[in-house]
Amino acid sequence: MINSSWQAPEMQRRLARRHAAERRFKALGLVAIATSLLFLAFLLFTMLRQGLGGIDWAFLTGSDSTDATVAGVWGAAKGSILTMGVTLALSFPLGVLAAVYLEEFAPKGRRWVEWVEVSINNLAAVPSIIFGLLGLAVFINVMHLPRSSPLVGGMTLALMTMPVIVISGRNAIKAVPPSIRDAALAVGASPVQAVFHHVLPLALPGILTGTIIGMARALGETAPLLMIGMRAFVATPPGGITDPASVMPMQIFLWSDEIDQAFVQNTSAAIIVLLVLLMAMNGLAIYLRNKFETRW
Amino acid sequence: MTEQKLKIAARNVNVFYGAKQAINDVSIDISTGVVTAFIGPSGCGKSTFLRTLNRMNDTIAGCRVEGQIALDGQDIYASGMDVVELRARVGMVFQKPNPFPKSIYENVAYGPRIHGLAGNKADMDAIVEKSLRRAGLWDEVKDRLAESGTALSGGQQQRLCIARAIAVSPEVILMDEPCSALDPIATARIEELIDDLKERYAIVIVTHSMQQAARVSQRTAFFHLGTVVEYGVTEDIFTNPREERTKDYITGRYG
Repeated sequence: MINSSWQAPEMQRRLARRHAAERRFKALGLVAIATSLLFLAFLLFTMLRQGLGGIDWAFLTGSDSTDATVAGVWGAAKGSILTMGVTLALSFPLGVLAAVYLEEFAPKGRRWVEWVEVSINNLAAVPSIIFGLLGLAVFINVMHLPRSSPLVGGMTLALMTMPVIVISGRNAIKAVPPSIRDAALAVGASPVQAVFHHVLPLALPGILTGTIIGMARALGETAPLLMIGMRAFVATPPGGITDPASVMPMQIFLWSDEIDQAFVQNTSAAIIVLLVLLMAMNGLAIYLRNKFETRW
Repeated sequence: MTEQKLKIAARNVNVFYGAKQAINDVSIDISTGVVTAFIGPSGCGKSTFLRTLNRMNDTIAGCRVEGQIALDGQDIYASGMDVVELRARVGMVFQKPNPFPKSIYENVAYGPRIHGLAGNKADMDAIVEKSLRRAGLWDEVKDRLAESGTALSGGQQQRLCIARAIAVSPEVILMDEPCSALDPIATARIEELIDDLKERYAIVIVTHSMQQAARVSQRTAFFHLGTVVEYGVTEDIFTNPREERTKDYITGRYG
């Protein structure tokens, strides 16, 4: 018979080993978290130290200039806002409708539907520079839309953001209990009514979270915008979506390239502004998710 | 005795899930003023057959129905049949209570609203009150109609679902094991309710509980392996079954 007494030394040693393994694992996890946080803290610290002094009203309201002391971030920020506006206006409705169609209406198991699904998943993984090339080839060379404009930038980034919205939207729709759909259909709602009255409102928090995460990614994107000419020197804030413009990450890239040492502070200050914007967007995502979340 | 009028006539119905046959040559009559119970072991096809009666099986990919199911003489699988109208006329209550995560009022008002049954707010209020009264829930919820339907107890939720089904004035109510998630007291309330409701509606109830079938129904169909083994007056099925398999099932020899 196996020794079953918990007081036996063998059993005690065994228990001690298990507890030690437990402690080791927790320590390892803490080290992993601390390592990543350390880098973030270091980045934030250096940026704040170098850039905080550069943030004043003139910096927040000015535009790019060859003189570091008068150069400001507003021109690029306004370019970013206009570009994001175009991106959201295009990718949100397209993405949500595509997600709804694929999840609720597309015939299951058909080859073309599977093909579309695989394509969308792949689209989300395509390197962003490729989208830039696509934007250049289609929007500028074929459709002759104005180069360097938030319109073309927004359209290019919308192509990138849409797959993210489709994927998160499908997951959010899938998470709505089928019983809700059945309940609506059983009182005589048409499939479209069941989706728009019941399924979509319940999926909205998840869709919004995915959308904002996709938008935050687009806000920090530089590579595709290089291809469509948004790296130009723009000294006046764009008046509309067809004016030449730059965006925040591009501005940071341009300033970091300057030989003039005075631009180092500008670079750091612009990074702080961009980070604050990104955090605000993530905060909004969390707020919206909590606000619209329904329990059943 | 309430008037019994033939409502649904199902003839030689076969149902397939892909290549697999789930229902084999089933013919059943369902009448107004009568509670019809479907009993049988798990997987015997009783729920599948129930879902063919308001075409809820349309939502299942690969499901195919053969044969004829007529509602007041009109084939519900004919191309001219509007599924929206059919489901308004043949309501359904599900196994698990599934109120919308909206207010109690909205739960009941949703059906009448999409069908345009209420001309104004007062009409709608009247429909909501009448439906909740018939479902035996009015007195419990009349002061908190704005509260979420999901905050109610399981038994109350199921009665809310019944009120929701009644609100669109259906002719038939299909109930798919409506008490399987409820405690005995809530079950007793639903059973009383079914008894009251049969005056106005044709009611079909799928149940795993033979006692429940015996208590609430006047007709019983015993399903086994996708076929109806025996269909007749409930009392006869339970006291004097014609078929050996029925007898074995109701005496608990298998199931």
